[in-house]
Amino acid sequence: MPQPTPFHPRTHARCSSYAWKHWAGYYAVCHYDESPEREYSALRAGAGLLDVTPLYKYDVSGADAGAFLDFVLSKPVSALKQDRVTYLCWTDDDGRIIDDGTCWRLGERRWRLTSASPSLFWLARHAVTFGDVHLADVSHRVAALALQGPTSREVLAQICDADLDRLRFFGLTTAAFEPGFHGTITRTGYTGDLGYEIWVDNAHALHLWDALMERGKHRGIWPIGLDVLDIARIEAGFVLQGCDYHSVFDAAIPAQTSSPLELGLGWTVKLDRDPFIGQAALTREREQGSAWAFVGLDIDWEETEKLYAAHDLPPALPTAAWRTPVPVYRGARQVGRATSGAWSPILKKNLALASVMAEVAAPGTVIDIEVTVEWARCRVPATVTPLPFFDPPRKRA
Amino acid sequence: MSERIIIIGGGPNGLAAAGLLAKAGRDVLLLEARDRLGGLAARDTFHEGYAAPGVLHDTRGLRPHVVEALDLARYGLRFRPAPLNVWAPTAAGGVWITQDGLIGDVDEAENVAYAKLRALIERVRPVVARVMDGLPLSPESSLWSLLRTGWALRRLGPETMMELLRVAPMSVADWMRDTFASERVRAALALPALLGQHTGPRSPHTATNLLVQEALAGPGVLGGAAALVGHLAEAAEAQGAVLRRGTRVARIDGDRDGVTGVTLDDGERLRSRVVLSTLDPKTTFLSLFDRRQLPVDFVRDVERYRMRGSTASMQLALTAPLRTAGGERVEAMRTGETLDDLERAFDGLKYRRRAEAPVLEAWVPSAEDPTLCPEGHAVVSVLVHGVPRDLAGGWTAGERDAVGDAVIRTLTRYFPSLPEHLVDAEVLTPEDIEARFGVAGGHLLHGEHAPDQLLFMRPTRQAGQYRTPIPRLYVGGASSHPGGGVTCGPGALAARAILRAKAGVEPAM
Repeated sequence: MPQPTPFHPRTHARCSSYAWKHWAGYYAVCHYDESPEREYSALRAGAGLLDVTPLYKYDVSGADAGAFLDFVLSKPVSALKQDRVTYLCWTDDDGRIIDDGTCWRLGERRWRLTSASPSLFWLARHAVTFGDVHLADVSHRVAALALQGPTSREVLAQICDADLDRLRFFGLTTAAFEPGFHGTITRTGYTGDLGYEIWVDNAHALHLWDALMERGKHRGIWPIGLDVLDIARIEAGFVLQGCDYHSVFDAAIPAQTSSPLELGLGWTVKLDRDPFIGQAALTREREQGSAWAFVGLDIDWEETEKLYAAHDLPPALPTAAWRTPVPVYRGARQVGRATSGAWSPILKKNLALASVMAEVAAPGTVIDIEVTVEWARCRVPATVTPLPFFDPPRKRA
Repeated sequence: MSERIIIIGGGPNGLAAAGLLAKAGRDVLLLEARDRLGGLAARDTFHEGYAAPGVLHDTRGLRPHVVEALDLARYGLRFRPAPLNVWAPTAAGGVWITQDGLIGDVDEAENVAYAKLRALIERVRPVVARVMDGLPLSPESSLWSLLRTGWALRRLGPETMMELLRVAPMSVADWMRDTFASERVRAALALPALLGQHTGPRSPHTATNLLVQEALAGPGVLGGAAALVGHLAEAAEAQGAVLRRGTRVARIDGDRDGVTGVTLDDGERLRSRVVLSTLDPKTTFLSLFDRRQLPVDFVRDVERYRMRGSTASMQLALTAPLRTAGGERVEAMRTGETLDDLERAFDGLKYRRRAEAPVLEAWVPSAEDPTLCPEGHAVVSVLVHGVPRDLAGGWTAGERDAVGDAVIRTLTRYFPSLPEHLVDAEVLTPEDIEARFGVAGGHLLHGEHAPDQLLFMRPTRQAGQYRTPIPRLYVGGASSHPGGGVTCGPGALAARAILRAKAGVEPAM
């Protein structure tokens, strides 16, 4: 049975839609009201508040922790500066992705790793060979909220003593919160917007929620669920495990796995360094080129409209993101699959994320995507577009 | 890059590989860390005037194809005219296990059973030899080689094949109980299946260990393992191999693209195209090679490879040879009068305790090699089963002495005057064996002989054909097929694998 998160008394009280899903063993809200539109508006115009407690969190410490993490992760975090966070991934020996997440530098010999799926067994397997490495799964002890959107800084500043104006994108700071407890703030998120994630001991979870909701109420704060997050992350071009890619450990056959280079995560991979898991395979792939590329698709609206018009129907689009892969074509040939997509209210565009063959990955290339209209399979043109689709300057400002 | 082949480890396997590769025209450099060759079969002086010819006694498994290929007879190798008679003592006198049967305190029915056992072993000998003397069969082997081995099995006839299938998964205790009425005979025949290993007589598949050991056994080398080492070294040098003693490898150099050579502990770098390690896989891959360069699944397999030393070694210097109460000279003996005695020795191992009454296989090498001690004196070399590498609480001088005391206590039961003749003794616990010989876990066989650690899975699937995940880095010690003991089989087969790869032929598996 899924467990309630420490915020459950508050999220449950507000969740009039009763739309819940299971996320990493916890109950998570899909959308609070019948329609996610208000939540979306809060996220892009005010401040959305999302319970992200279900993320896996591992604390790694010890004299050899840096060498160990460097060996396991796609980039060397022993070089990460104190109070900085970095986004990265990790792979198996064949350079196929296992998971992606963030790594924080907490101290001279202390890091934290977040991940989408349980990773302790993989970390522990390699940690034993590295001498002084301590692994602690703190997933169930640390409650986390994402506060994302243009007014998030203002809201957060109301309840803590952190100097948020000096907290740079992917920075980290500890802070004292108004109700009288301490926690950690990272300037990170999964929305591609200005935003923060706040990490506190479970015991302080409700105080944190209440303080934010109370002090943020005149600054546009609003609780948001995972449906809106899904739209936002597609606008931001972020991959989702189990949707846009499958972990090596979940894939039934090798063809279902991906390399970071194929997923557009090549920038998280530093090859030229001491040996690490997947180095040989990824070096080979970088030299020879990847067979697949991860791209954005801007699906032609007028052509979509025409397909519906042929049935005397207005165009119909779901209000939530879709996650059922559909084929994409170049002429008669299938050249890949679109793995998720959504209508972007802010961009007024019908967007998709897709894995396509390298030869059609250049921005501007027009390919066809399958859509189903009145139970008939049709194709509409879609233009390959650089990611992210949505990248407001305030994200880094 | 030099076409040179570097061999790490100067034990019987390293020496055999050196001889065979040099004979094939390769430029061979063998590196031995100690100041003497032989590895676990090296001669060591343990008290002034008294030397022991290594920890491993049993040379009966020496592979005839190695003797032939290296023409060892030319370098002085002589086989014993008959295997040593083994005394299985009891207070009442005990039993002698000889080529002609069981002699002593047994009735005729036991001899009939023994003859039947010997006959079974003789029947399966060609098939066992065929499997053990070839590159290991695996699921990837050619249909042809699988068929040929299958056919050889089939030709044993349904009776023998059924008996093989019945016995193979059994414990040696169950098999011996099926076969013999005398508890003394059961225990004496079972012990060699356990020595060196983390097993007791009631552990599964230990019957296979006995069956294979006996099916591969010849008469043994005159002078024992130390004599063999001398012949192997002479043969290798005659073929042009260079044998460097006192040369400790600190690191095997290379990466995923291939091995490039070795670095010695004094910093000297030796380049070579091919490196053959006859050390155990934990030492080779986890200590000498940069493990981060290895596939992580392979590292995991190596870590999981079981080699928990369970047997100590002890050398005794005596002023007189061992004689029974009846005055007969003893050259080899096994204690442990019952299967329960053997099982009790294993009980301690399970809980990382030293057995209070370890079981012993003792050998008197000075009977064959008088140069080991002053004339008329004797050297007794003992394998002491029931001594864990990871003793709870750790090894101390006191614990080591306790092992020696237990051995002397046990021997004195059968040789009451032994304490009067004792000049000195040396105990090597598995920890000492690890330190002196560089074998992880102090395991005399470089890893358990168990179904998941034999044939193409020895030491791991990925290194089961002498090749490793690192191009041109080979393994060929006792932790490769056909396994531990003084056989020279792994070294010779590794040499074969190297020569085939060199010729551009994938090893036929």
